[in-house]
Amino acid sequence: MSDGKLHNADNTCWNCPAAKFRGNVDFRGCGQSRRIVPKGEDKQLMIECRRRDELGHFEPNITFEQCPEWEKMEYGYMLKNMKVMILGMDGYLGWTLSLWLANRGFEVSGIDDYTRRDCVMEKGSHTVVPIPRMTKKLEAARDELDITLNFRKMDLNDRKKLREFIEEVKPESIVHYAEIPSPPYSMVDAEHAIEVQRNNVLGTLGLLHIMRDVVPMTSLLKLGTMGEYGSPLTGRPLFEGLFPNDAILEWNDREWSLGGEMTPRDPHSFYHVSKVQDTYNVYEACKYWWLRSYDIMQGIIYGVHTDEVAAHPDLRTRLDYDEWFGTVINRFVTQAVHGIPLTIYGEGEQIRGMIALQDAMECMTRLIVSPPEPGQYDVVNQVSGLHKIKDVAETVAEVGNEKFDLDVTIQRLENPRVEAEKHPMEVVSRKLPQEHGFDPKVSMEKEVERMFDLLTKEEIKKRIKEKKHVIMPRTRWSGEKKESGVLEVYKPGEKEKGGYEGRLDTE
Amino acid sequence: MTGNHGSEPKKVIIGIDGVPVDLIRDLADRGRMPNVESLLSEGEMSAMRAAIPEISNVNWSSIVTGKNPGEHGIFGFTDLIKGTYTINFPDRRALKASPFWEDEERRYVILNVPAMYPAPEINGIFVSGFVSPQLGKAVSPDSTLNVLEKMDYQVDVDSEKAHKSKRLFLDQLFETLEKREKAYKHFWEEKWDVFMLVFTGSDRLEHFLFDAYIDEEHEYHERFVEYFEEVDRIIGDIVDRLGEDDELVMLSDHGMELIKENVNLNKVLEDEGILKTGNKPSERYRNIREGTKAFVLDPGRVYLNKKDKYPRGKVGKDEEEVFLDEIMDVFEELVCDGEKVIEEVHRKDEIYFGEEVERAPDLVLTPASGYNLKGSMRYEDVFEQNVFKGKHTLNDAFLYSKNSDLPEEPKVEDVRNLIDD
Ligand SMILES: NC(=O)c1ccc[n+]([C@@H]2O[C@H](COP(=O)([O-])OP(=O)(O)OC[C@H]3O[C@@H](n4cnc5c(N)ncnc54)[C@H](O)[C@@H]3O)[C@@H](O)[C@H]2O)c1
Ligand SMILES: [Zn+2]
Repeated sequence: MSDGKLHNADNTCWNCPAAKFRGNVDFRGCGQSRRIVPKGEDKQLMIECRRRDELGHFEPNITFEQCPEWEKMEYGYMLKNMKVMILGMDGYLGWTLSLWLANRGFEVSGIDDYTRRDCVMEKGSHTVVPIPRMTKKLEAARDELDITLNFRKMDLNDRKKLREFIEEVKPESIVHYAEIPSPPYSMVDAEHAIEVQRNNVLGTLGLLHIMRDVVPMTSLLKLGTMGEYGSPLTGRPLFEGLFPNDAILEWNDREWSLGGEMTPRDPHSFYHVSKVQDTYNVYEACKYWWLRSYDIMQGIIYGVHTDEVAAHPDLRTRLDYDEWFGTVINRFVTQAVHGIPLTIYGEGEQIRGMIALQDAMECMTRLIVSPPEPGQYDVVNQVSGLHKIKDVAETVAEVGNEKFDLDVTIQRLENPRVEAEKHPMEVVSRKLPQEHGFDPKVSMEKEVERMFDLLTKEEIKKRIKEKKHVIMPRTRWSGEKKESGVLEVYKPGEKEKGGYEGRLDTE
Repeated sequence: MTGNHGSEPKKVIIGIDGVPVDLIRDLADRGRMPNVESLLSEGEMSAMRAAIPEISNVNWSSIVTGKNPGEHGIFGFTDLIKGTYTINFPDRRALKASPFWEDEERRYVILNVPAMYPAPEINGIFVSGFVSPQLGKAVSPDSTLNVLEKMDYQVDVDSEKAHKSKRLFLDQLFETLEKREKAYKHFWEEKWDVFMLVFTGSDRLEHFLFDAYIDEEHEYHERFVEYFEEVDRIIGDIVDRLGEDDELVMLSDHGMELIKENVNLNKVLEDEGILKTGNKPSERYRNIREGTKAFVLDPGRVYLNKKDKYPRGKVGKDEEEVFLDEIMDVFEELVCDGEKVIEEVHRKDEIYFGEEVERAPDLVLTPASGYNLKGSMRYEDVFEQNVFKGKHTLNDAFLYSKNSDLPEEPKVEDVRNLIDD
């Protein structure tokens, strides 16, 4: 920041999860109230600090910079040994974040019920980067990184157990990854659609009630997805969840301000619908109970690398390539290694927000150390770039061909999904760079190269080959079960660039 | 007298927060407080001088310790955390003098004394009064909590309600009083030598509806008086339980009068260039900028912005006297409609003595009648009106004793002698 201060230096107890709100005092009337009345003239909010008992009751405005409990670190001021609970710790992102945070002095706990492992097994697939059982992963974390993670196997929907665990740990931040993250999985049939929505929506709803009762000050980092917004054909910018103050609705010669209202959502699978439903549930809980949350509209994550997961083979995070759970770049690199043409759906002119694994970890850390205010529901768009699927295929092919001596081609398939295949896209992502000091560090070429490095290892190539039948899409949005036909196969560099360009608005 | 009490004379102290001597006399004379009326004919009542500033927690601290603020260390509802501009709310843990209940020779029931949170462990039962953020910490011993929770005891009315609806506020006041009565009756059955009970709803009622007391046509005039009738009924009930030799002391901690104007003292300082502020009034004292010589905390406590004391301190040791003189002049000259607003400007060593004086405000202002002094950092004009109708007064609290002689011109610090006797 311009004055050389860390971006969250001026945050105060008002943002701090160690503050316990004790209502307000009304001096003029010699009165007291249990309610939180933030902006009242002559009424003063009273808090106690969970960590600094000696301060007694005081107003919540000691800054992070002033408070000895907050220390400088790479990503802002951080609450010393801040307690973070990661729901979905065994997952692609959950495991990576657990190691990343613990290695930076956070006290990390977490749960998982291995839903993801079960679903991938149901598909008859496996993670191409081998990962051991949780107990072994935890052991490796201890041995290799000197990190202890407080893990419990449990289902998010087991509210009794979860409540006990949260009560025991009293996390200061909760990162909620524990959902079934696959669009195609949610489109298989009624059972799958229902299971995704039950697991995701009810899990989150139950969590919110537990937080209300046990840890109302804790900030919730809830994972949504850019897919909640859809891709409007008008090219209307995808704001960060809520309309900016100067947005106006004009109709019939009249005007209304839209400032602060939720922007439209246009999900494109029953999985995305579950995320939208979560969005409203979290929004309401913040309103009713003064909970605080960042709803993180995350772009598609790609990559395999952080220093922590790369420290030992037993510390690796999973990487899937099947049609259900593989995300686009991760699938492309795997396909390139295996020697099948990269699978583009339809025109391939779809534009998506994306971000590398390590950059995503950095964003999460920055958000964890800058909790929202009580009652604040905030949305951030977490992407580092917008990319056209076709261009991504070109990049993967280029890196594969030039640096790894492969002969990568690209194929267009009949689109199993119902989605716009050609559309403009403008994404506003200002909060992370402007308010949280985020600046992406990993280019797509760089991460793709790291992926090839890892995936071209003999034992991994073997694993890819073993389950190659799971690569081609068979799950259609129409309900039919049928492999997509090939529309076209081409070599990288053969196609002319054209169509819409994505526009990422960061300042 | 109930059976389980021994033959030694007992002592009962009844506090009625914020009641001016004229009000209680008036309601007694009008026959609306008949029990008080007959007490007045048996004992002695006099006006009592409150502590400076005339804030409840300063006064009650003086009453129970017998000390002046320079000794007990409580100078107002608020203080600044050392080395910061962040306000804290000093409570019993900040009290530097011993309350009478620390004498373990006697057994006590202490119910609803303000500013005594969290509850101390004493020989007997303790329930703190306002401000008590959590009931669990406001009681001792722990077993008391269960009793109070069962009767749905409330330390105080929710002041937010008063801002929403006077009617709801009144309902709550009566309800809180009813709970207080239940609690006192329950604890009366315990073994004790000294029983102290404070009514605090009176002060809330007057803050919001003192105009209803003055104006007999006011829609809530009757409800106002009814509240005091209820208090009187409970007092009568207590008197009936007393034995011939038992002693009764009754008092308030400060008086009350109608507000003419609220006075934003920090606005006065800012207009004079003595206080410099940024553009974030919601940050309160953290909004103080470089170059500030002094600022005011509620109600009229002036603090020099000293160099080694505050983050953006300016005033060095050698400059203190000059600035104090300058500030005194500013306030002594403050007028509203040709009327002097500040009656007196006190330097700290004129009014306080003791070990804590160093922490005291450098100046304390006492207002002329009707002017409500404010140290708020959110203001527009120097003078303003708001929802509040009543404000504390310094010279007209009351002190009553049924059995003992009162000192000449009593002050709040003198009450302790009556309790100890
Ligand atoms: N990976 C991406 O590209 C991406 C993009 C946008 C949003 N997201 C979201 O981020 C989150 C994490 O994604 P991921 O890629 O790590 O997925 P993942 O499936 O690898 O991780 C989720 C973890 O949560 C666990 N889980 C699911 N339901 C559970 C339950 N009821 N109880 C306990 N554990 C449960 C799973 O077993 C899994 O380990 C998801 O919510 C996902 O929707 C991911
Ligand atoms: Zn009062």
